[in-house]
Amino acid sequence: MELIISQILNAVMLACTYTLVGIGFSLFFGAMDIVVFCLGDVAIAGAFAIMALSTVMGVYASLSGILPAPISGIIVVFIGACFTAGLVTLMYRAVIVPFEGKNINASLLSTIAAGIVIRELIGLFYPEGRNPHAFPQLLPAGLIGDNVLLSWRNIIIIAITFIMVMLLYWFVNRTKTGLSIQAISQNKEAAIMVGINWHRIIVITFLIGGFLLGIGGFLTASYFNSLRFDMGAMYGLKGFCVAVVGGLGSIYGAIVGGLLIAFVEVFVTAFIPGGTAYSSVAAFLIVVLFILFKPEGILGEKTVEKV
Amino acid sequence: MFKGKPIGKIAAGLGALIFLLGILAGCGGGTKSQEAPKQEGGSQKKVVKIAFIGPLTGPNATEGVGPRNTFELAVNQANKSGKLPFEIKFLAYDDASNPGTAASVAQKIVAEPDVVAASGHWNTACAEATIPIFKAAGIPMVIWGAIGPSLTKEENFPYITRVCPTSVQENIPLAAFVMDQLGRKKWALISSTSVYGKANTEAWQAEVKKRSGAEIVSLDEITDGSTDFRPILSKIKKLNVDGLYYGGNIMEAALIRSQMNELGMKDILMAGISGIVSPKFIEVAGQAAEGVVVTQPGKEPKKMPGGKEFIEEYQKAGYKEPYGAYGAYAYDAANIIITALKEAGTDRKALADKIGKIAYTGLLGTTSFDKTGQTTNSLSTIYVIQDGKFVDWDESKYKTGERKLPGAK
Amino acid sequence: MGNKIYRYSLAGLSTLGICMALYVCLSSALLVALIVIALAIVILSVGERKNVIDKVYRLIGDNKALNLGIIALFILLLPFLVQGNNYLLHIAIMAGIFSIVALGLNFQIGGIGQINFAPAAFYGMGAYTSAFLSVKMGLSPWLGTLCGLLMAIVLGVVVGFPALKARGYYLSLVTIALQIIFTLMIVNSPWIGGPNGIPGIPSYQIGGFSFRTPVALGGIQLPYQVNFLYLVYILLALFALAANRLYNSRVGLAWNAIEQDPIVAACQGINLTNTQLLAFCLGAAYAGIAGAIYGHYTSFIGVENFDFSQSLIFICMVILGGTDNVPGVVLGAVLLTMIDEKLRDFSGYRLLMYGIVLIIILIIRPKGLLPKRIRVYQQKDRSEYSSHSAVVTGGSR
Repeated sequence: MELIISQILNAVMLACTYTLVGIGFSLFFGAMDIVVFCLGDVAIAGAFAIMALSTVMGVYASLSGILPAPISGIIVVFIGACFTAGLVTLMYRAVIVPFEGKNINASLLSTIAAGIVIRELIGLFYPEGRNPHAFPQLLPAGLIGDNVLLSWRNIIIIAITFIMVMLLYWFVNRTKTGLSIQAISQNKEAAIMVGINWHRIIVITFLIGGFLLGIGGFLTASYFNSLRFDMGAMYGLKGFCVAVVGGLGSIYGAIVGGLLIAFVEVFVTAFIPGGTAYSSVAAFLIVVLFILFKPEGILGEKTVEKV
Repeated sequence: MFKGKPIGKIAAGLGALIFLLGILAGCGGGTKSQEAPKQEGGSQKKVVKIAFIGPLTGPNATEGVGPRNTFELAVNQANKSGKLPFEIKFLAYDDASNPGTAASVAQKIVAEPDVVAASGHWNTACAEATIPIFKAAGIPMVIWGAIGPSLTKEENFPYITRVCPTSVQENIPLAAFVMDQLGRKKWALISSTSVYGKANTEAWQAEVKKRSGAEIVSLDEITDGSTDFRPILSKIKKLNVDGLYYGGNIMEAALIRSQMNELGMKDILMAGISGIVSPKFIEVAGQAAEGVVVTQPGKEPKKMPGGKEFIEEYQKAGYKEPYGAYGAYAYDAANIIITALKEAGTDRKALADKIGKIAYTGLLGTTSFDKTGQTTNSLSTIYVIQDGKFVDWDESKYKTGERKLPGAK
Repeated sequence: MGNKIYRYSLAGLSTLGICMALYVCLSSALLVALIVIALAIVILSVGERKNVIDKVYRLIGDNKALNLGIIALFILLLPFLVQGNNYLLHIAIMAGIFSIVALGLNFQIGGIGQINFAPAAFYGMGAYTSAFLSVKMGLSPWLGTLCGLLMAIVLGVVVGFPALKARGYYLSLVTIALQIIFTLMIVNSPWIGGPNGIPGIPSYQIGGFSFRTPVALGGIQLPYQVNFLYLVYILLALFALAANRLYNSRVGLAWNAIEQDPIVAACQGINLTNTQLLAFCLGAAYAGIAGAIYGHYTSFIGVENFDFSQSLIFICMVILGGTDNVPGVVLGAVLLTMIDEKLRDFSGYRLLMYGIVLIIILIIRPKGLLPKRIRVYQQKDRSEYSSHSAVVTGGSR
């Protein structure tokens, strides 16, 4: 029984790392009808920024001289997430704007290429970029009581993910800007016609999505205690899978999709003998099956092909 | 329709283009023919080239850069010594841990006219890809870091030789230590799906089979680059094993160790071979790394004759990267080639024969090759991680009983 | 009459120019190669603006036999031109093999407008099948190659099937997933070598002559690569001609119709299922045979040669060269292979280069170096239906 509980906990934690990047995919797809393939790399770049702030550049150390450790941690993470938001907006300008309204294949390829560029730039220019790095422990590591299953860090990761999703929920449903994003995702032309400044809203969407990605990258790196320049490729791909399984364009879908993919991976590893090597295969097969037989995902709306 | 002007323009354009290309082609040829006499007449010494191949970029770049440096260091030292009748030029190539790239690079090396010998590869798959190419070209290759047992074969001798032990040879002393000396019998085995990992899995399984009472209770294969091992570890935790053997590379090993720590499995001994011996392991695993037992063939360079000088020279040469787990191998591989060159001259065949018969004493002890081209040198050291450093078991506080290994009664 | 000879020699000269430019790229240093390529791009874009390119196309098209002859002669003489340098020949062979894969991939990208992210899986399927059969079962490499082709087609159906249901992003995710599953399955299958790959793949043989023996031609000792060079380029010529015929046939037209709008295409009576599957199967067949040859040429295959990044490189080749344009695709494949090899010395920047090249091309020349051409059916019709008038106007068309 304890085994099953601990595996469930593993799956939930894994789902937390997938969810925010999945939400990123859904958010941008909802707003612009495009898939930005470099999101995983952007998120990892954000984590690298946070690591640079706390190790190489020494910002964290100098901050914690003045402020208590948790607050300086929050400041560092916040700066890193803002950097990610800037980076993703830059991506929007550089590799998405030139292809607006053209064949989707062009933006698909350009965002994949942008992912490679980000990854390789980190590898080339971050000090010892191609080596794995130990991620600085900004989250407390201790256990809660004597129970080995629950550590402070896991609780905080779940809590941050939850808070982020709630904030996003509040923003999308309760603020004017959020409602504008929804309007654009439902019908771009009509939204423009009722006076929504489309460009402004898109940039805001990218900033918010980028911020979430930065947090996502930070949580992932903290959970694994490590960071490597090429982690972003698989992370982004899994995020896209999560978004598709949950329903591309649906924010809550990303949560459900993240849980599903994470549970499949963990349970194939844990309960099928010799299954470890096949856990990724199983996850991708699930995605292929979803696309073939339920392309709208679990929570997505069924779309009828327009003629 | 097509009279006169446009066609005339095309013709003129084409003419100019072909003229230009002709010049370019001529230049290409010309520089080559100018270079050749320079080399013979300009400098007094003949130039011979030795090529180094290793993963300088890609996922295993850490493992390749240090050896590249030590190899270069050996060549530079030989050139500086002034005892050589020729000048050795050092060429470094990158296989990026990709066999296709490796094969391509090998073709390039083979096509260079003055290359007399090569030393290559950390990845077994890359070596598999280039061995036929070097053998066909008759260029001796000394393998410095690839440990797949199948690489050295009688039919490839003396062209293919290897200064490092195979995975089988590496696992023997470790198994003897942890199973016979420490008495750990019940093992969980995790390995990477890479060539290296598979070879280790097989070697460890064979070692366990040799000993009565020893058993492997779980085997998990993970792909390189995975980051989440908690599901596997949670499963292993239930099995009450005496030790966990990991056959693979640094990053995954470090993550496994730190995640073991998180899941409350600190009391399980972790053991591994030279693939995880790197300061990076300790950096990533952090506090959790304490008490991990590893083995590495050879002795620590600083304990070998000439080792102090080697470390000093390496630091003096100003290399940024540490020489790493395989630095000493590449250093000795280079010196073996240079020694053989000194004695046999620059003929490739004579050089290969000489390398095959060599008995060279260097950082690794005395290296000579058996009839398959495998080194007969089987020195090895057991290390344990203590206070963030790899410490020789015989000098560690664990041996004296001051500290206890994970899971020790 | 004089005009005709003039045009004839002009056509020959332009082909010769292209061949020489490629030779210069192949044999010289990176910088020279880049200068040549930059020059070519300038000529292309100036030419396009002045409509010269169209005329060159027509010139070459009118004198096909001559131009093919020149290209054939160029390939034939290449080993002597590079003085038996086996590295340069190796690049040329790889360029040929990659060209075949790129031609096959073009059926999907250029033809039906779906980006298939799994060409390396097709390529690997051919290589692994052929290598496995000839190493473990002792089958003749020729038969192995054939089986490789068949197995690749089977995989083509597997990958092509989702394309019937999904388009755009969904299809790209499916093909990426299948590509990753393919590499993972190879790594997890010890009976085909797993991560070890398959070493010691035998070479092709005709009679008692192994393709891996050096040949002496005209008193010059040439490395064994020469055999493969000729084999690969004969096949490339066949496949390129076939691809060109396909492009001009009803099938090619149907593919383009699906690319424009599948629903309209279906209304026009095009069988979507068969036509789209055909694009995937034919592409897989091309890649499969190229993979099999690659295995028998290098004698070793490992999973690293067939992974996702290799797929991206193939896609780069097609996009760089120009989708749905046979000479363009071959040009893209040849150029990228050569640049890639020239970048060996800066290999840390290799992938970065691919990323940047792809973005720049997508922004500056989204249709590639040699863009897709307007189909010229009525011209053919005119020559068929008004052949008399062609005679009257003195053959100047």
